[in-house]
Amino acid sequence: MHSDHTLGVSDLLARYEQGDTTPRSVVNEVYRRVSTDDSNAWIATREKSDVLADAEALSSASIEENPLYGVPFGIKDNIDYSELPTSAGCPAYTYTPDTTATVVEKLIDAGALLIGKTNMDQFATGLVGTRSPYGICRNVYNEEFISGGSSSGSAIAVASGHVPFALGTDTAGSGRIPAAFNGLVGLKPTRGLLSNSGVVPGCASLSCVSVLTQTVDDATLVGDVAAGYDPTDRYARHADEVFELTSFDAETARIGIPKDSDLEFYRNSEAEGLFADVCTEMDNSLATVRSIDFSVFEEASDLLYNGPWVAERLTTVGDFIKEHPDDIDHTVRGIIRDGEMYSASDAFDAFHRIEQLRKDAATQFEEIDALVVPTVGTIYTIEGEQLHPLEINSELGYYTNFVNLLDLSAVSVPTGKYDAGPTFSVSVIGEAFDEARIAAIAEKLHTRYEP
Amino acid sequence: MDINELQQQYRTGERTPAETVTEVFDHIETDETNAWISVRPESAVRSDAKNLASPAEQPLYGVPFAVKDNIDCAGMDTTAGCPAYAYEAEADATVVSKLVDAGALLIGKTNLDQFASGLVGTRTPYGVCRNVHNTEYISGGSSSGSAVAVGQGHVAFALGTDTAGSGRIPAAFNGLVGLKPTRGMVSTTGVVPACESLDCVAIFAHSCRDALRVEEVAAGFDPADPYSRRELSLTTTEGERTGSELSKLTVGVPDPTALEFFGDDEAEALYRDTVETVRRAVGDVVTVDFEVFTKTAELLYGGPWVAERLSAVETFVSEQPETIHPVVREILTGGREYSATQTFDSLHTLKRLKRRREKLFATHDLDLLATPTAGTIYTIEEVLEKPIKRNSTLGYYTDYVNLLDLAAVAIPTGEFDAGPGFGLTLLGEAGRDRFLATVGDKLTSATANTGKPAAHQ
Repeated sequence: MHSDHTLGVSDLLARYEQGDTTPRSVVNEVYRRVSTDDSNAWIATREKSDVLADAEALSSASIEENPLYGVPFGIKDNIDYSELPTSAGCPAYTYTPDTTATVVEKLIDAGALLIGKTNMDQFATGLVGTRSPYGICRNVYNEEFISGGSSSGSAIAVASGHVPFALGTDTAGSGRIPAAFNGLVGLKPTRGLLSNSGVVPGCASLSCVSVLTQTVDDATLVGDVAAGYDPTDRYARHADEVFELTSFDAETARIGIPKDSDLEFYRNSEAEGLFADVCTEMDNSLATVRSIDFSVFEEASDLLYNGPWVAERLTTVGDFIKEHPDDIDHTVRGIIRDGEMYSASDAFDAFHRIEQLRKDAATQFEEIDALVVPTVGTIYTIEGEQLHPLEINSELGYYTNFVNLLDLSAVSVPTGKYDAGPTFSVSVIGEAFDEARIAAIAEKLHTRYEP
Repeated sequence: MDINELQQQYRTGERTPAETVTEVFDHIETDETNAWISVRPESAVRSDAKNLASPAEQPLYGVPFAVKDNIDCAGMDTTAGCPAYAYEAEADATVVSKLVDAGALLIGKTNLDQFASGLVGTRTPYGVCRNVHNTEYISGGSSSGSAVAVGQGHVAFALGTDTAGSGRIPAAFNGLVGLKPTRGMVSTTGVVPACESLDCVAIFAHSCRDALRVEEVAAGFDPADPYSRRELSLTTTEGERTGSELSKLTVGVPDPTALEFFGDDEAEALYRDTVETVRRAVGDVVTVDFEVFTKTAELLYGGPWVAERLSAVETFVSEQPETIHPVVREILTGGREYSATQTFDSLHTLKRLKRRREKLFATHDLDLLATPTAGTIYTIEEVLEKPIKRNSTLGYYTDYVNLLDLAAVAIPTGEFDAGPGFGLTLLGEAGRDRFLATVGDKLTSATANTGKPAAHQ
């Protein structure tokens, strides 16, 4: 991490192998960068000496046996690490966990070096990056624009070159959207693949730990290390080798895109043009592209915030909100308290509906290998976002909200750049456990993008 | 009336479907058990019988069957046990059309506890269903009419539904096999939901083999059913134990402190005999901690799933509360107390309990779990005296099954001195319907061979 400002995981590993650098010097460089940072990316960092000690301990370990040997990383501050407090973006909520989250444990066991905890939209409730008492996160390409959230700090820390990868969480798009705006790859794995033990969830039954990196390969490498059935996570699922690709050629993939009338760019013709470029590219050289009826996905998206899943957020923080209403971001409080409106009967009605939508989505996926959509149909300035927080939040989630409710997997990759600087990205979406396949398609689209 | 036997007679020409139809309608005419809510015209069934293909092409060729009246049959009213709720069904439920396509002869619709809310058979305006072995006793419910119709030999098999035990309890009390398939194995399209996420279509038959044969026809993924499961298939037999392996199984039973017979010593003795048969016929019996099951059962009625019952018929309950059976109305409106947040809390709790259940099976290396189907039985008078309390007693061994995503087969293993049947339920992991039915078959043969519990036959 010396000459190249934003080094990826694989690049760093290659340097270690060639003996070009050492974990110790990388850690020193990370702390140099973090200490001069004013982006609000971090809520808390570990003592440098502790990380150096971890780096030192690696000297007796081998690179072959540690797939993330000496790779520094950050974690969103709703993921537990035993030596640091967990705030979930809310100082009054802060607690010091006894144990480290299972996913973090797995990464550390693979040789990765934890640097600290990153900023976020409070209680992972937002797609913007502005709902935090730890300071607004700004887009790395243009500070007048939003970073996207809720895993805002994780995106900024990777995009600014502090660390080669970071963990976020993703319920409605929180891992994909900040990746999309800051030139990163955002992997939202299948629910239950990465353990949620030790994570403060947005919606416990939907939330996923997500991975933010510079490249698709880095994302699958980290995802593969972090994945694994965890009996202590009640939503864990058994699955083997989902990141290993067998006999699939992305060049022949059958791609679905929303039909024209279902595409939403919120009057942003630049975004519309950038998505058209991707479609042309796929049409010309990559795959067969067909327009599909997007109504199933749209209806599912709508259920997430205009349905009982808002009440699921109350199961995690409901008591806290009742006791500390004044310690909470007012927009976040408003959204979560809406959950009180829903009855059990409403909840069951929505469960039945979503089960049917899952069946309908599965039928659509019989005809296509992946769905490709803009990760976000537009982008906003921080000023604009703060004027209409709720409308904008729901516009931001149009292409992301449905993914977990329908039990799908997704990778967001940058494919273009707005004139103002922030990146435009698309999400490659597959069914559960389709990680290897969507990563292969995403890799093709990413390769064709030149920053 | 046994499916196998019927098929044999059809093949040898000893009997024709038309003769069967005549026999069925003669029986129904003299029925005094309130089994039926509506019966098709004999001429219509006769015409179906005439249009059958052949026994070789149709696995249920000429087999008469009944359908619980919360399952749609085109052109007939579906009442769900509530006359004010009745509507004329436009199409057959998916499961009914599959059976009919396989040559089965639909006879009519059977009585039930209203909106499938009950385990007793008394909560219906169409007349209390009576036990086939002693009319003073309850038939069990909610699929009361289906059990009684099969128990009396009106039909060879019947469909019921089973959310909390509605298919198993009436099977036990009337000496039948009650197969409760894995959730999502048999389509519920065209079935009036009780708890939509938990409901199963259940099968009543005289033997496990018959029940399995019906499920083989009835099972299959249905994209129109939100809870249908593509990954499940009855045709997969990979990894299933067969032959001599079936006598080396590990069978879990509730630990003695968790066994409940509600003061019924006769039931307790019948259960002990049954466990002896299990030990002799299929393998090791180990006692297991039963708490995960009782905790799950508490969730079903002490939690938001009652709201799921309400959500299925909410508009009707608000508009015409006076037309609903008072006990059923009390249960349904109880669902109004629960919030969405409580629902999610309960779902999270259930997820944890499912993990515990998995671990329990793994720790003891269980092939299946066996429990009494019901811990006791009541007379109709006893149930009418304490309708809610005695109903909930009956569900002690059945309530948790669908919440924990288990498959179940209730088999008859004995009889109370007063006549009604006592039974055992075999429980296995999702998808193991065939295995459970195979074990059930072995156990019923072993029971019959002792001649002891089946002495009344």
